[in-house]
Amino acid sequence: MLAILLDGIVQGLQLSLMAVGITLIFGLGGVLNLAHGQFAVVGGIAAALLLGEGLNPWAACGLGVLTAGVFGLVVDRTLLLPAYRSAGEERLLLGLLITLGLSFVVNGFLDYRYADVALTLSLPVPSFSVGGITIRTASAVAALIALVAFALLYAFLRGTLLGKVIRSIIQNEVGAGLCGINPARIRTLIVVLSAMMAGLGAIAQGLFSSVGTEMGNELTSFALIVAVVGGVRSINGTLVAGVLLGIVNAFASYYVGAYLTLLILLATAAFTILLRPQGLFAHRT
Amino acid sequence: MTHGRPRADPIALAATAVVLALVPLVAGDSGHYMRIATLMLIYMVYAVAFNIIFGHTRQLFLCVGALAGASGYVSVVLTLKLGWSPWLTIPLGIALAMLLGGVFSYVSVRRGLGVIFVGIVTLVFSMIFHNLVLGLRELTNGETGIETKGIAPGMLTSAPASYYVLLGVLVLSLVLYHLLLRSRAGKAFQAIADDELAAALAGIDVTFYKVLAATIGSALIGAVGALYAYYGGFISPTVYSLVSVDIVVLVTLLLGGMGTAAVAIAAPLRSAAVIPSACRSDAPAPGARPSHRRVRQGRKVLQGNVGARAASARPFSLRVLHLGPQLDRDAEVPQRPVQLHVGVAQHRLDLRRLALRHRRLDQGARGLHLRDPLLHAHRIPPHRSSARRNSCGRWSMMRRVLSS
Repeated sequence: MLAILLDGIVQGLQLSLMAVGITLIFGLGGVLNLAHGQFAVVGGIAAALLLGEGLNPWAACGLGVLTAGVFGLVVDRTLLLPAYRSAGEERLLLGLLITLGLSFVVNGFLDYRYADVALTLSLPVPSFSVGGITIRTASAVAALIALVAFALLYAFLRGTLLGKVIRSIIQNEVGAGLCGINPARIRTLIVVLSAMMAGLGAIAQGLFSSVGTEMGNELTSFALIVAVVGGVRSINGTLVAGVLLGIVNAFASYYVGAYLTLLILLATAAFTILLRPQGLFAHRT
Repeated sequence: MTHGRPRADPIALAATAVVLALVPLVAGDSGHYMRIATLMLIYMVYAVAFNIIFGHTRQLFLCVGALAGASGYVSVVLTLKLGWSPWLTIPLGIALAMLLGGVFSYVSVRRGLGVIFVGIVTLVFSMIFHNLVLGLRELTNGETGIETKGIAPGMLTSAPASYYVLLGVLVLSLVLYHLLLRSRAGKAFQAIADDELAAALAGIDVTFYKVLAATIGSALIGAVGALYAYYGGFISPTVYSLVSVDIVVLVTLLLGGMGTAAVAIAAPLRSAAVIPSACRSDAPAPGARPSHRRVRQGRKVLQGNVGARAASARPFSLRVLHLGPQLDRDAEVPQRPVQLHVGVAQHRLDLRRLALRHRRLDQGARGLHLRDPLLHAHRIPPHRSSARRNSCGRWSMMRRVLSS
């Protein structure tokens, strides 16, 4: 029982790690990033390739996360520019189409080029036990990664001036611009940050199972569901929703099977949009 | 969006029909080319339907494949399990697709969901549908799919005959599209696409027309989805997946120019030649060669590329993406709508401000008689019952504020 709960929390943290990127990019850039899973996969595959070259796992993972960040940077500075130039609903739609197209390009390219590459990280100690519960080291490490990432993110957003700037843009882009803030540069920073968090999510995923080229869409859809349930503008909401859905996911897959679980999750997302479009836990960011 | 250009010229329509009708004479010998030609027709109908839904009323339905699949699977499963005639089950499938499309549209209009959220809800529906098909193994046979060879109606067994059946459906849908846009509904669609708020203020029943568009579009999607199920001789979740239907149709629409009649005729012709021909590996061909995997991957790259490029460069035909009011961009705007738009545009800002200021009044105004002075300020006759039918949501809030 407790083991399932723990498992759910770990899964949820991982989901949030992916989803928070979608939330940030949507809140700041006004673009719903449908290629987020692809960001993660790019990071994961890069790490896997570097591992294959015989690099130290730490360095390989770090470079993988960095690759995801660079990929995000390139996308933000090139593909997304037309979307940023427009405003409101038009930007949303344009962003949606661009990122959808991007996700297909990336998927197609990775499938074509690196079909047999997958990231699998194995840890020296498979599991340890605390207080009578056996915990997989992978779970512990993944949870640790997610927690540290979130702690850093919160510290960054709450504690630094740059974080304050970011929050101000989320609240009101025009107002922030009037205060002498350059939204474009902050946006790039956020996209890079989100892409790197997605890459980190892929690394964490690689600890459990493997990250292959075909996982992009799956990761995107899960992250999207979490982000939507949490209210696509709220980071707190995303974190809570991720953990909650992770727990639901773990219990449901244990009791009713994976197939119905997915349906439950999807239905949750649909009903959240219909009943509370602002998300379950919409508070300040 | 389509100001000034003839929407679906009957002559162009007839010419298209004739040209398409001649295709089997040229390609009739080759089963392979006939298959591509038929797939082209299928995707053309999808595009026409999606154009009605998204191009004209801005409802991003990312469930074209799922609607088609719902119709196709219901028809095939009922025929197989209950032994009903396909002529009975195909209409049932169409009815189901209509119902689903109508409900999505109604709910999302009533909840005031933006384009993007309609997209997400329908995307989620697509995923639910896909999982249901995979999960309900005893009915749908899961990933393996169902053979429909033995149960297909006679017409859909030979290649030329099924080509003409689908051509019939295409022509029917084009005629329907033509009539729809020429009617009062066409005017309403145009106004809604230009500016929903302005349309509502002009007395257009936004809910009704959006649901109408979604229902008609879904019916077409359902019809072609069910026919496809029998025509292909085989259905599986991949036939109706997001990638093989929705994305192709979206790209087709982007290339062809959304909200134009050209999309209905020219765009599928143009892009169908590129995309569905590559689709052949995607369509379930028993005994497909392994090299087709390459083709499929190549197609993905191509498609994504085209989509991203078309969307980002915002070239020739992406007029849909200018969602703002289009007041004097087009010189050939017909007279009356211009007056309507300008008139409403002048009021619009004031109204928004007014409505915001008086939002609290709204609560108290619920019981007031709904009468919109704006309806009489313009020369377009109001719909008699529109005020009452539309008596919920943001638009009517404005209206109530005005009348209070």
